[in-house]
Amino acid sequence: MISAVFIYNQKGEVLISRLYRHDVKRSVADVFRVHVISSPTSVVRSPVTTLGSTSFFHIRYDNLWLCAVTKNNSSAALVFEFLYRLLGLGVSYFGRFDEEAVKNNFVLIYELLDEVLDFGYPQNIEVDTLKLYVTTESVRSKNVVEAPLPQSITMQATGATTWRRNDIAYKKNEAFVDVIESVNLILSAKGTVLRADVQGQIVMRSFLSGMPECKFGLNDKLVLERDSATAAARGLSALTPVAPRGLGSRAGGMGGVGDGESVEIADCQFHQCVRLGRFDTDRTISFIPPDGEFELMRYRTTENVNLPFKVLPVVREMGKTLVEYEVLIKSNFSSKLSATNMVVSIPTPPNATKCRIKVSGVGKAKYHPEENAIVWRISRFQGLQETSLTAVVDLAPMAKPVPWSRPPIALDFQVLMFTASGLLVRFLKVFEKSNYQSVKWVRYMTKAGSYEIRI
Amino acid sequence: MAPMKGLTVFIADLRKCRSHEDEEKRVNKELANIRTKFKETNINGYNRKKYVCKLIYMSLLGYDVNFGHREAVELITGTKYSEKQIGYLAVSLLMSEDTTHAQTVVSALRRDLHDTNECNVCLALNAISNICTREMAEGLTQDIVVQLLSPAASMFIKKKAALCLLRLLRRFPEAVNAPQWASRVVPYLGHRDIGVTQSVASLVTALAQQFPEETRKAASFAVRRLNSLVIDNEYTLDYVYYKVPAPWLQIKLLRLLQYYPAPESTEMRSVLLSILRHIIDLSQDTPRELQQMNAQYSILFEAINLGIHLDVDQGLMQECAVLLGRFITSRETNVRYLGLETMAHLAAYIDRLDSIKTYQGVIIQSLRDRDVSVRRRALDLLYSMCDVSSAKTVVSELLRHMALADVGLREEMALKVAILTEKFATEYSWYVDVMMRLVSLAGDHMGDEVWHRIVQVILGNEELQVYACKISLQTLKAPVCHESAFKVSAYVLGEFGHLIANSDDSAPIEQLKALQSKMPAMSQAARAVALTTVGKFINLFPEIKTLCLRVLDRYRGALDAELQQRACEYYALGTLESEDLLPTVFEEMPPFPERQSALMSRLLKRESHTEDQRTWVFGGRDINRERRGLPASQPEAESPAVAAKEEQQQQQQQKPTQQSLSQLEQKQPTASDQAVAKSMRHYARLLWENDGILYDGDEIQVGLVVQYKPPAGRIGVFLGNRSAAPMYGISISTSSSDATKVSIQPAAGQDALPETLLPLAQARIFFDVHCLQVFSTAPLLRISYTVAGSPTVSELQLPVTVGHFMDPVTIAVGDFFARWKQLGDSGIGESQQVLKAAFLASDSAAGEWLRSVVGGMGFALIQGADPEPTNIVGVGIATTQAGRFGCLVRIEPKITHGLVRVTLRATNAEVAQAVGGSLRMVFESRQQQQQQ
Repeated sequence: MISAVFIYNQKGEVLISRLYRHDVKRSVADVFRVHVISSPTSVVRSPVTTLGSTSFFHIRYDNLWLCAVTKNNSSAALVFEFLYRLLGLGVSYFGRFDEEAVKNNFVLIYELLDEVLDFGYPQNIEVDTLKLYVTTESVRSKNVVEAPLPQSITMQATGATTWRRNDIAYKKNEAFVDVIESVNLILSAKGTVLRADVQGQIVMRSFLSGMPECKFGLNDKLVLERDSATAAARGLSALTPVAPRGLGSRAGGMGGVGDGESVEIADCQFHQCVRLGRFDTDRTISFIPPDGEFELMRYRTTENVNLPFKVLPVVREMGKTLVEYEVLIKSNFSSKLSATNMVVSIPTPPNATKCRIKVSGVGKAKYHPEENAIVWRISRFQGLQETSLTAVVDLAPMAKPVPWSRPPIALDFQVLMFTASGLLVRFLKVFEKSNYQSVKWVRYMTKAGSYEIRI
Repeated sequence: MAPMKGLTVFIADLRKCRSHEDEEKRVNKELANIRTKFKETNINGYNRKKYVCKLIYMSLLGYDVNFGHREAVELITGTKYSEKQIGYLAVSLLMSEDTTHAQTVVSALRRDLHDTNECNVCLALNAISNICTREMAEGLTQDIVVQLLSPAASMFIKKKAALCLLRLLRRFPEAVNAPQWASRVVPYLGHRDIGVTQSVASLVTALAQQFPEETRKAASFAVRRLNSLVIDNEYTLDYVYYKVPAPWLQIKLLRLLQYYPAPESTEMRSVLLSILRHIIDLSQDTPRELQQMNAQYSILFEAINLGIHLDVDQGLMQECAVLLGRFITSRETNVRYLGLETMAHLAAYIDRLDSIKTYQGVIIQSLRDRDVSVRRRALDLLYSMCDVSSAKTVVSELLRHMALADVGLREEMALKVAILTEKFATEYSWYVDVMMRLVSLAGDHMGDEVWHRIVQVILGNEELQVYACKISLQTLKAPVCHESAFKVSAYVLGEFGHLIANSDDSAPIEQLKALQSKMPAMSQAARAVALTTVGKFINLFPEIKTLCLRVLDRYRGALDAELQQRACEYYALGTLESEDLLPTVFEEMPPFPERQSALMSRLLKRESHTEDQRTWVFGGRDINRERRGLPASQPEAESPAVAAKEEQQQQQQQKPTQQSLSQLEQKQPTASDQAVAKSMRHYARLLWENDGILYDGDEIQVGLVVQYKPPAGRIGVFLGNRSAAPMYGISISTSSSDATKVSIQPAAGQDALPETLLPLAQARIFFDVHCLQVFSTAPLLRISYTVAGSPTVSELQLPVTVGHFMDPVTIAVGDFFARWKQLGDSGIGESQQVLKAAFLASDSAAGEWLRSVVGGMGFALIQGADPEPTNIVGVGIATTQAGRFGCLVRIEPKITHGLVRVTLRATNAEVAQAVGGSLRMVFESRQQQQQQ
């Protein structure tokens, strides 16, 4: 049960304060501010802070702090799910969810908060449903929606598909599928992989008329094995299922994704529209999509991760006055692809004074004293390429010699049309009563999660 | 100071930061900038100052600044005032523990201390007070003292120097070498400038507490100064505070005087008294203004304190008491507080409490004061003023008040009630009643000490026991029973239940039932006490044994480990076949040895000493006299508890003298008298024989084989294991108390000792001994080993005396007495003693034995030299590396008297003494053997 929800700005000023139960006072907002937001000591901030008998769950987004308060032993997963849903709600209502947006839409936010929680228990938090009846001036002026009849609201809110209205019509029926993966890595100084995993999400934007029934196929191991097993049972030769060409031209350029390879998914979760019963029985993902953008599925893989970059760092401390760096980076994907917005942050000792940096290859590197790091920016990095950096850092003498903690090198990047897990969308079929033709697009992207190499 | 733009911009930047992360980034950037700037060599003073300022600011914000110390020190050594100032600030804030620059800082400080510019000296003094490290205390104290004493230094510097010294003295009393300069500082109490005097007064007060001898003269200076201030009105108008002249100085001086005894000379004394009287007279009328009142009252209270301390004029004291009586009824809370506190001081010193007792009612009223600190003081005062006559009223008042008192006060109250009751009890019943009521009332708020103490007192006083038993049983039978009361009752019944077992309503079965009925509601600890009581009941009342066992049986499965163990053990004891063990285990407890009451120590512990020491403690006159080393006056009516205690104390004191006889001989704990005698005999025998047993114990046997080639010798030590278990970790070493005279070391080239020594096996080791000079104390043999898991160390004296390094020398028969006479005339070294030798008569071979002893000691016997045939004479030369000393011996047995006269003459007195001592030991041991 959530006793209260607060939204703070970056300074810790309370923007939204909504109490749901009587076991907390409005002043607990100050407690959270004092102990978490403006506390200088807590550098590593836990998302859950328990002070006395009160627990505060918070997430940060843009320049906002969203905080839920509870006195009970509530399910932390539920509270965070609620907070993220609230965030999504905000994003879809205001486009951007930041301090400015909150300040401009106080009334609407309070109205929404009234709807989504009742006495601390989460209620209907589906954007589409809410948009039917939580409407305000500002929203209405943007996209004009006819005020629906009260019956239809009831129908939808209580019906089988609460997430979709049945009177949607598009001239051109399109569906976009984005596979977005973030890859996490910790590499030891000797080059052994300590941790590597991929967290992926499949986001879909559907602009389909009517009540379409969608079927979705991936190259994950369970499905493929089942398919080959059934194929063998039918006495057919082991035909590898081929992705239908109709999936769109953008899928054609996929060099990084291994064809035909199956991927083992460690765990996955689906949007509520997916029929879990069918998934359990025959592993097909079938659903009626909500209108617009939604997250169809989330998954995680830990085996056979394709690391997009190889980093070979050599860091030598030469006495107390010098540190030498030699960092070599190799890209490990097809030369047709390229990484963009790549940032390599190479930490320097806290008593560094001057850095002499030389980059042989691509990118520009600069010493950023405010972050205690050399920041190396590469706007575009082709596949199967390598680049290196050498640097000499001068150190100032310290009053009390403290050994340098040698924090890891961190990488940030984006690689389009590459999946670190090797996941591939095999098909997306749309069936509708009127049998219209639909166009489907698939896009792949791999981002860096926490991609760290120890030195 | 000229504004530094860079600094203001930086601070403004940080203020503008919206989040912690932004601020951290800005700070990191600035730190990197300063690091690069500091690396450049040509940085000017202004910039250095600016950057150090920034570093200080960042460090104040809580960021770790780990550099810039060198720059801070450079700023100090600069010439500009503003740079120095910032430098000192940085040094005091950033580098309190930095040792690399400590020496530079100290020398910079010293330079500044001797600077001609007054500002720099002040800066240095301020910096020293603020930083105050040990190096500074050690290195700079002299320089500061010079500043204080220098006639050239201004008043301002003198003041600062005195306060700086005070700080150093408080922080490092042992490093500042105060006795050296203390006496020179004292005269400054008479300085004409009041400001200087005031600073010096603080310093001298601190000194007076540690070095009363060095600052002895301070008292007379203080009296004179007070006289001029109070009586002669010599002061400038600057120091008048609301019509009161220099109140702070007056107070300091009055307080300083409390650290010294009353002045000896009558003249001084009368001056002091007239000052006090003047101050008291001045305060008769209440001033209008608050500030004036505060100043005047604080002087007055200090004056009264001093008066009490001096304890000279009864009339003055009575007057004080009247004044204080007025204060404790004042409407001002502060005045009431101070009045009560001072009255407690008065009560702690005054002989007759009558003058205070008239206010007893008011004081008891004050226990209900609105202000908690006033209530506390009232309690202290009541505690201090209580005596035999008023004890009952005070205790009953306190008990009545206990229930209403606030929780924080209750523990102290309970402790004080317990102490007062014990101290002034005249009837047993009263003591027991009060204590039982106390534990029932305030049991939750007091430590275990109180109920432990009750049990101790009851155990120590037989007369109390019967009554205590009755009350205990009543307590247990009462519908409600507090846990502490339960513990006391259970313990008392377990010990003395049999004393009341004959009457019907307190039969054993009744006692057990009462105990059992309250047990389930009690805590674990209380139930554990009760279980022991049940165990004791088995012993006391065999008739209810089965019932008791049933109770124990129930607790054998208790969840609490302590309860379970007790129950199981007592149950096993109770069901044992043999009846012997039970009475032994549950024997009546002996009275507790008298020691300082735990209550007192707990009460005293509550007082904290943060600043100046108090000159007195709360409590009656006796305790304060004891503190000052005066005998406590005899109480007028001796209470039974006290009398019984004193008797015990006397018994206690007689015990410890009986130990510590011949501890050198054998330091082993098994040294019973017989063993000592035995080892004496072994030792004496080895004085004249070359092999034998040195020590024969339960676990080890030590044998010696010696061989002398004066001035050297070799000693073989044989260690035998006589225990039934193998012996580990054996080490044998020797030590000589005077290594310059005799050296003893393990011989070279021998096998190491075995690691284990099986039963009945033997190990040996040889030592080389060299006699360098004449010596009197024998070396020690130290044997350590572990047998059956318990390590033991034995120290044995080695039978090595200077006499062992004696070469026999034969001289002509006639020459002996010529030499004898010659040595006797020179009077260098003669030792003569008459020893008992009863064995001479009974033992026919005694003559032969005597010869072999003298021969064994290294003398050459000169046959026929002495006209008396039974006499024995001998000649030897004691050889040391430093020289050779001739030695003659003459032994004249008087067989009929059973005596023997032993005379030694030598060219060295010590040789004569040592050999004489050896001979005496040999004769004594033989004599003892005879007697046995």
